[in-house]
Amino acid sequence: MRPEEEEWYIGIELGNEWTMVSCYGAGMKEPETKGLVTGSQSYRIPTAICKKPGISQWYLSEKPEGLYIERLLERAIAKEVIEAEETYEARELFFVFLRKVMRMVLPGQGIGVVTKCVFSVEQVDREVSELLLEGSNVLGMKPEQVVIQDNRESFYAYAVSREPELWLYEVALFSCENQKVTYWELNHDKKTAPQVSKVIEQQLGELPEECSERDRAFSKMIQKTLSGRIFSSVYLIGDGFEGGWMKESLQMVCRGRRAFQGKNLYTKGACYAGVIEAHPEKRETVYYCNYKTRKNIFLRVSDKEREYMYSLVEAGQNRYQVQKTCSILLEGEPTLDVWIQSPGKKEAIIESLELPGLEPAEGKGCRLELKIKGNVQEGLQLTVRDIGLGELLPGSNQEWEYEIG
Amino acid sequence: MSKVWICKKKTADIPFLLEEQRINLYSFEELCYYLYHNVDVIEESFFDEKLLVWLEQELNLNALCGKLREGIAQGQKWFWCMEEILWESGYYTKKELETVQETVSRMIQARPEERRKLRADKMLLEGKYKRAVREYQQLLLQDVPDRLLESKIWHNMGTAYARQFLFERAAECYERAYTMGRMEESRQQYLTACACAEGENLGEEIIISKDEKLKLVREQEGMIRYEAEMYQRLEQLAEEYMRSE
Repeated sequence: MRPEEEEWYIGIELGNEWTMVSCYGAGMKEPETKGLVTGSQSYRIPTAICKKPGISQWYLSEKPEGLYIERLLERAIAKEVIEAEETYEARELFFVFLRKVMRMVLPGQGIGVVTKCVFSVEQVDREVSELLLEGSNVLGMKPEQVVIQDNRESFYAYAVSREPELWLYEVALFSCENQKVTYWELNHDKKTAPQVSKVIEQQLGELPEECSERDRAFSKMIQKTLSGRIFSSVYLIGDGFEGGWMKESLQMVCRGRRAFQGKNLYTKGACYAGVIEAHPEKRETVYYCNYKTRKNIFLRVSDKEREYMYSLVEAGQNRYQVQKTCSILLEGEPTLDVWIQSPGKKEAIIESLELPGLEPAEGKGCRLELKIKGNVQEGLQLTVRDIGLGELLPGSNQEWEYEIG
Repeated sequence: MSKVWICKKKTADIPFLLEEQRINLYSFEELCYYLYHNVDVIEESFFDEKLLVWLEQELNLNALCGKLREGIAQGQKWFWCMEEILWESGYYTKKELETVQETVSRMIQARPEERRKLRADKMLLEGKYKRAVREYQQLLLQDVPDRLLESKIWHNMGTAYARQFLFERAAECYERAYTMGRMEESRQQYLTACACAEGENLGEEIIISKDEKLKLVREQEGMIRYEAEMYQRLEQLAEEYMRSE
């Protein structure tokens, strides 16, 4: 999948220590990663900002200098207060950092024309989602422009955006930072359409410091994870694989499969994920993990003579980003039937939600506001409120809350 | 079983004012509710450019407005506009719209003064007594050719006064209504209004009614029962007045 005319995607891999940013527009063969120094192969931007003493202007820097505030992501999540000649909330400084990073990849027409801005983080949870949604709002983005996912999902998006033969079977990724090796395996359930994809993680341990021992140890890790199975491609990422120490292990990785080494897989994968998100009709696979909504949730609604299913929530969305609001007219009994369906299955379960105390006015005079948010562990919160019909038929403002999905 | 319809997302920043009712409409479903429940009193003048501009600019219903303007240019009548709006909303079935069409047919055949009386009756039913009285007065200033219709206007104006505890005026209206239409209900209401007017004065001093008709009723029907009914009626009127505008 490629960006269409006038589309622009931004992919930001956000880590506690460093950040990488890429952009992807129509006509580009693949996403382009930007660094602080033009032409440099070093794409890492420390997740930090600094300023010269006595001067209020903050700036990005490859190395610590001046008043240097690092690890901004975790400090913003922790809601720290930072003293740097003045008192700042870490959150505010983090948003300044984000703005400067975004400016490196914004198109000429500004943030309004960005199709999707995808943040790729180590782990998605409510705190990081709320922080990034707030930051996006401060930067002038609308919620529908923002996607928050983890690095596993970026790996998935990168893999399935390559040539089909590279992900026909399983895809493996080895990541090595500070001698620690993490293994991810991407597999697809071919029994469904679209195919359901998942990434499984395994911690493989630490590699020895000495090069030849390191090579042997990594060969054993490869043997343990890849032998006896078919893998279309293998990715090696992280500083730990640099230095030319891979001899035997590299031969083993490349045996019968394509292997790639790189540094900016997640940031590029984030751009690809934006394209997939913007064009769901074109995708052949759907990615699932613990922060995704697991069910499709519908209402059965009327329109003139017919009835149809109105989608409230689709499966596969980041639960923490779910914020759906709509209004309905209700006639008949004071209950709301919600249809819950697992993806790929025809059958649905109907949950009848009672609305005690509601007396639906006749003649379509009962109007309810529905709000769905993903702020419940594993599920979604649905709030129903009687808002009435304005000055014609004022509502009671009574609220009912349910956990669904 | 309940039925559900999805409302349009857009809410108007600037509402559409229903001038007679002094009510603001902020959404398409409010407009549809108003149209559906007031078919018998809506006039042609409601479907003017002001409504179309509001639908277009405040609710972004450009396609609907385009269709309505095209229809009007081709000579379609106001009730066609109403049916198009209700049908396009998706909230009403063909059967429900047939009911609307039947009411519209009746209203088209009704005379202007009959339609105006229905509007005033609606205000009366909604507890808007002062406005109802004004409407009835305006009607009576015009020449109402139908004597029976005129008696009904006097009768209902009497009711509007009675619900404001203005029993003497109510009695006058009921008397006029009875004189014209000879409806038994007007007679009964006249007597009740007189009794209520008298009952209001009982706290100040005891006045023996000199009204011959009332005296006759008391003698014939029994004073105790009559006064019990009068107090019951007073309580009912008090409740209705508390609920009114």
